[in-house]
Order: sequence, then C-alpha cells, then structure tokens
Amino acid sequence: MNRRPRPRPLPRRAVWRLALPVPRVAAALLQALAWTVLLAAARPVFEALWQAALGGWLQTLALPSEGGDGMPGPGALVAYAAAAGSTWWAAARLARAGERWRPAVLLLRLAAAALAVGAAAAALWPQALAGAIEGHARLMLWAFVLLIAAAPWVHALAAGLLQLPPSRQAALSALSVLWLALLAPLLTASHLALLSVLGLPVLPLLHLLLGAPLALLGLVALGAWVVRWPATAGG
Amino acid sequence: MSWLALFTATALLAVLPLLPALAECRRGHRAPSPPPDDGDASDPAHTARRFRARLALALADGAREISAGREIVGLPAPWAWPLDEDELRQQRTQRVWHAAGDLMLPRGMHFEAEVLAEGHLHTAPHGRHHALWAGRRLALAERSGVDAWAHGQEVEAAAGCRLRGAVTAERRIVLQRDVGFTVLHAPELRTEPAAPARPAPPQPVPLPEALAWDGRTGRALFREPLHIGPGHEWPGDIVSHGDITLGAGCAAHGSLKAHGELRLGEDVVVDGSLVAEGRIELGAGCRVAGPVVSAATVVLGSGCQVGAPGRPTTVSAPRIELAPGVVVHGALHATIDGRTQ
Repeated sequence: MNRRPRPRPLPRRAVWRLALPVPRVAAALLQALAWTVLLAAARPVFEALWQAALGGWLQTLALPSEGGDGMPGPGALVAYAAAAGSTWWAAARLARAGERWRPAVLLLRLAAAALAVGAAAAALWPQALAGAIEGHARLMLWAFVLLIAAAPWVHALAAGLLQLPPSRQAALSALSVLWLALLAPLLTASHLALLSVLGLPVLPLLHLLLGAPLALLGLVALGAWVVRWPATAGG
Repeated sequence: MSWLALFTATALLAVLPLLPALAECRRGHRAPSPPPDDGDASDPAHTARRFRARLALALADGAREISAGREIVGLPAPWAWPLDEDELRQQRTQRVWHAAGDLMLPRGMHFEAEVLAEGHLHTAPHGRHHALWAGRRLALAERSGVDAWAHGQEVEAAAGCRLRGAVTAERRIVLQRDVGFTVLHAPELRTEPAAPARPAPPQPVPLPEALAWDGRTGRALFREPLHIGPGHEWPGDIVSHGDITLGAGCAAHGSLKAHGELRLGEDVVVDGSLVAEGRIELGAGCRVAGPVVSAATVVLGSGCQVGAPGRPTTVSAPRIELAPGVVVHGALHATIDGRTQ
C-alpha cells in the first residue's frame, strides 16, 4: 500500500461555487408555465362559474347588482366613529392581558383605524366614494384573478428553495387555485351584502382586513400545511 | 337565513386553510426560537447565559420586571408557588420565576416565560416550559418539553421529553429513551441505559490491495461504491462517489466521505470525520474522533462514541437517531428531528 502523502487543507466552499440545480428549477418553472396555460384556457369556465355564483347570491339576498349608493346619514357616521373608538379601547384593554394577545391587538387597532378612516372619508369627501361599491366588486374579482395567476409561479420559486418534489408542488398549486376559485364569489357577495347594510364607511375595513390580505393569509397557510406533509405522503 | 348561509359559508371557507395552523397553536407546539444573535453560532449556551446575566443585573437593581414588561417573581421556597387565580385557572403563567435555591415545578402548569433556579431544578411530568436555567442539576421529568432553551450544570431528560430548543450543560447531558431533540451541547452527551461492555475486536490488518492515493489531494478516490471487508486498517482519507460500506472491526486512520450512504459495521474506529450526502449508519461500538455530518440521517448504534473528552466534535444532520449507550463529546445538531431509541 502507498503511504499517504502530506494532506492539503480542503478548499472552503463558497456560494459562487454552488451549482444551480438546473433540472429541479427548470421542472418547477415548467410546471408553473403549464398551470398558466391551463388557467388561461379555463378562464371562460371560471368567469361563467363566478358570474353564476355571484349572481345567484345577489338574487337570493335581493341585492342590487349595480351596488347602490351606500352613503350613511349623519347619525350613522357618529355610530361609526363610536364603533372605531370602542374598538380602539378594546384593543388597549386586550394589550394589558399579555404578550400572547399581541396579534389580536394589532388586528383590532387596524380595524379601528380603518373604520375611522372610512367614516371620515364619508363625512368629508362623499363625492369621492360615488360608485365605490360597484368598483369594489370588480376590484375584488380582479385581485382573485391575479392571485390565481401568480400562485403557481410563487409555488415554483418555493419548490426550488424548499426542494419540494414536483408532485407536492402540483398539489399545492391545485389546492390554492381551487380554494381561491371557491372563495372569490363568496367573499365578494359577502362584501356586497355588508356594504349594502353597513354603508361605505366599512369599505376600508373590508379592503384592509377581509379582502386580498385574507386570501394571502390563506395561501400562506395552505403552503405551510403542504410543505409539512410527511415525505411519504407527498412524494 | 340566506344572509346567515352566505356569511357562514364564506367564514368556513376562509378559515379552512388555517385549520392545521390553528390546531398546532391549540396543541401549543412552537418552533424553536431562532438564535438571537451571532453569539449562538459558536456557543449554543450563549442565550441562556445572556438571559441569566440580564436577570442578575435586574435583580441587583431591584427591578421587578425584565424585557417586554414581564414580571420577575422571586420564590422563597422550592414548593411555595404564589400563582394568581388567572394563572391557576388557565394553567399557564407568563411571569419569570427565580429561586435562590432549589426549585420543583408544579404539575399541570405551562411556563411561557423563563424559570431559573440557582440550585437544582426539577420539572413536573408532562410540563411545558419556554426556557429553564439551573445553577446545578436540571432534571426534566417524563414527557416534559422545552420550547426555547434549557441550561444547567448537568441536564437529565427522562423518557418522552421533547427538547425543541437548544439544551446545553456545563458538564453532562443524559437522555433516556424516546427523547426528541434539536440542538444539544455539552462536554459529554450520553444516552441511557448504558451499553453492555463489548469484547475487544481483533487487531485489524492492513488492506491486502493498495488504494490509489491521489498525491495532489492526499486521498483515495473511488468513482463507484466501495466495500471493505471486516478487520482491515488503512492510513488516509477515502472518498467515494457512491456508497461506502466498512466491515466490522475496521480502523480508518483518516476520514471517509461518500456521495451516497456510509455504513460502518460493529467496532469500527475512525480517526477523522464522516461526511455523506446520504444516510450515515454506525454499528454498535464504533468510535469516531471527528465530526459526523450527513445531508440525510445519522444513526449511532449502541455503545458508539463520537469525539473524546477534551476533544469535542459535532454530529449534524437533518435527522439523528441515537441508540442506548451512545456517548458524544460536543454537540448534536438535528435540523429536523433528533431522537433517542
């Protein structure tokens, strides 16, 4: 046997020496591209389903499809201001209950601020809010269209980073698209129903807390759940 | 009725993806706290020591609170717990508890902040704790858990403990069966029960065939899986693009690196390190002087020893399994799941 020559220290690994896993990244991006083509082809189906679902709810609830005025009277504005103040007070009380309530405190404060802004806008500049209810429905549906289109690409990037197998990436995209497609008409109809009852001052609250942020939160939660599937279940 | 149906359906659908996360919150599982600063990278006990120092400073100043407005409660006796009505009803406390002597934690409480005892600290079975510090021995009772960190002169974890945070000791950490862990650091880490004494293996003989040493890198490179029979020894590093399998009683006076799996039979001695992209499996009674690093799983068989007194090293892998009687000098770092058998 040869004697071992004098060892030399191994070179340190540097980031620039790491190889990009081209096959994995390419597979993830190709899958995202396939999803985009599939979703583009299925767009008329989505539109028809959403139109039927949203129209059905508006008809059932006897809501006007064009939105309506939604301008509150002076008494209602005072009630909104009082509701904003009460919410802020509740947040302050909850903040004293401990650190574990901090997320709820932040949400309550955001809700109070959104209510106050909505009431102030309706009181000081009502002309700017004309037609906002009808526009809100369009905006909500467009937000969901964009989220559905973007989700597979976000999942492709996540699959590259987290080394998700293609089967799990596909499952994540399918679940996300399905959930968003089901939620869009329901959430929009709920917003229109709330606006018809409560008036325009709740519009900022719906936008900031119960609109696209809610959908984003759900997408993140879905992603976290799928990523944590045991390896045997998701490939 | 339709309104109620619409709002109920919307709320249920909106909450549906959050259910797994909410269920986890209800179970109280929390991810281990990330290292707060660079100090943790080289010294896993850094966070515990730093908190102990901050608390000592606060107590010396006569402060009644520490960061984030958490109240400090001094305990006069190990069994006297001035828990208030809310804490007793909710079975959880967010106050920082400190005892000048020994401390025995009460049953059925969730300690969501730090608990420190200058003497011995004993937890209750099934107890849940954010962070624990003991000036002497820290005894974790059956099925108790640590979420952020725990530190003591000696730490003993009974069966079924779940150590999600870094657990460090000045002298020794002893783990019973079925203990889950992520980061352990001590001069001596031991799993119990101890392994029975093994008969000394026969003296290894040099390999009959010459390994092709690369003069530039100082190692032997194999582009295919390598199998070396039992009872051989060789002086140098071996790298294989496939798996490496060593028979019982081999002695490697160098390191082993496999792009596949690395399997060592019983009583194998390695003077250097073990590195593999796949699983590393050590048979009973193996001894490794250097680090053991895998990109998949490390399994240490009964009676294995990694590192040596005064020569600490590291076992690092996403998953680590320890048989009874294993001794590691240094650190165990399981990025996903570590467990004793």
